[in-house]
Amino acid sequence: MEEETTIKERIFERYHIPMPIYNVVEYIAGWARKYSIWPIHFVTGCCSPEFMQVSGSRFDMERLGILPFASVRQCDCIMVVGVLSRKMGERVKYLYDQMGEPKYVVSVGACPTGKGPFYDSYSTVRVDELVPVDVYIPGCPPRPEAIIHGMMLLQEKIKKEVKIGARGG
Amino acid sequence: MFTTLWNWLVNALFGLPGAIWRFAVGFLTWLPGALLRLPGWLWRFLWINFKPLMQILILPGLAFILVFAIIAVWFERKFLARAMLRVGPYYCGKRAGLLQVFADFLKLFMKEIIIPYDAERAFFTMMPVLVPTLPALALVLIPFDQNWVLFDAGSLSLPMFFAIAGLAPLIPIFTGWAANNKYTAIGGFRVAFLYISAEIPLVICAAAVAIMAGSFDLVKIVEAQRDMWFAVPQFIGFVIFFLGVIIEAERTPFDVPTAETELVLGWRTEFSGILFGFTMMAEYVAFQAWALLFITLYLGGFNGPDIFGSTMYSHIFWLLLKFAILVPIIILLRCVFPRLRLDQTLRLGWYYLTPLAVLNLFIVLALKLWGVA
Repeated sequence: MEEETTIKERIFERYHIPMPIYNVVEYIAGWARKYSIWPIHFVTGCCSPEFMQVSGSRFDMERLGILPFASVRQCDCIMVVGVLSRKMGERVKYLYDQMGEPKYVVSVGACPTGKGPFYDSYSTVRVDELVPVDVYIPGCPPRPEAIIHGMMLLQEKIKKEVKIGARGG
Repeated sequence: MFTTLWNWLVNALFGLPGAIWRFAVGFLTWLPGALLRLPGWLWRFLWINFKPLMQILILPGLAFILVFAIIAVWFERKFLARAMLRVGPYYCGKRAGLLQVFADFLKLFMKEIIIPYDAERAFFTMMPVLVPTLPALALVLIPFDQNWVLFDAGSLSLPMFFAIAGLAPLIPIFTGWAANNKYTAIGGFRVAFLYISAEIPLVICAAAVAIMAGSFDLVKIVEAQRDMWFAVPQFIGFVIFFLGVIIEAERTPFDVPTAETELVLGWRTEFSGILFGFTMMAEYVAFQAWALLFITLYLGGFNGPDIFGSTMYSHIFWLLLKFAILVPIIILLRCVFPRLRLDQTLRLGWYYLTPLAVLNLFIVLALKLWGVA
């Protein structure tokens, strides 16, 4: 039976980077990416008041280094908030393609996760039919604490992903 | 001959431990003093032989720019957060999010750089690197002391500052054109509008300062303010120059070129990764250059009482102290005022600041004529 090789091992085989240097770079990369997530808000629905709370004075998301940004080019993370029709789904795909690697997708609320109350509509899509999703945050709408918890889960995921060299290593 | 050899051998064998011991004691008594004297000696050596290099690397140069950018970004984020009753960056770094800026920079450094298909490739990749260069070039003319001017242009230094700073809007225009995107193009043209409307009152104010000091030399302008800062007789010019500094640095009440709600990020829209980091750094370098010029022209520059014994170090200290007080005041404006529209900013520049600057010039001429100043 053939043994599975991880991406990290393949990187070693190809580039011959010394192990200690690789470990240091990996640690720094994971740390920097973890604490500097710049999300863009793709808001189509009514979860947006919760988002204002998350950036506001009580639940301040900037404590984790999360700084909402205006343009996709500089962003690392796209937060899909609210129901996606087929037409808006194309836009999500378009925006996702405009972002630079490494990029992450967070699905906030019931609508992008599983169409929510519009489950039987002809024109709605789930976000994971279009782009790969990293974290699903349930709730209709999710409370600000839930959104922050989801972002912290994303941080843990980024740290682990850099460790196994899964993405943008 | 045999005895001589024998004597030498005995002496060598029995004298060796003593010699080693004496050498060790001597070395160990010499070492602490030498280590203590080494930094001072090294500093004097570098100071005498490589003075311009040291200045480029440390004070008006690299270290000053980088340290200021790091501290200013961190302070701005924390300060704005406090003003909005938030905490700001907190978990990155052990204490108060101190390492937040480093995390952001490293992440930008390791991020993919996207060059749009339609963009003018060479311009698009070169210009962000050039953006912080021009304000940094203007920084060499700022006197930190009579003997601490990196490039002493003599009586040309004030016009040279405006000449270098006047080139600065060309780069946003070029980038805006090179990225081949309507937001970047509009942002670039807005930079041009803004600079022209701000630079004319600024030049008139600087002319008034030069008339009062009797020289275009920045060092002589500072020395003329030994008894009284020019902010007192030229209060109108002081206010105009303060607003002009904010406009030139594209700070918030006038950040029309990067208006987030109108143009996505203005002329910076298409930059990703470290190219964007360079453009953000440029904002702080321009801020630094203009704020230092403002202090030099109106707030007495490096003047101040001697507190360190050495005149030079106390001069540098006073200039940096004034800078450290001025910067938070300009940052504070960001959380107090909303952004003005483009036409409002231009009206401010052309209808109010320019006539007031001319009025200020006439006041200075009258003071000079009657021999008051």
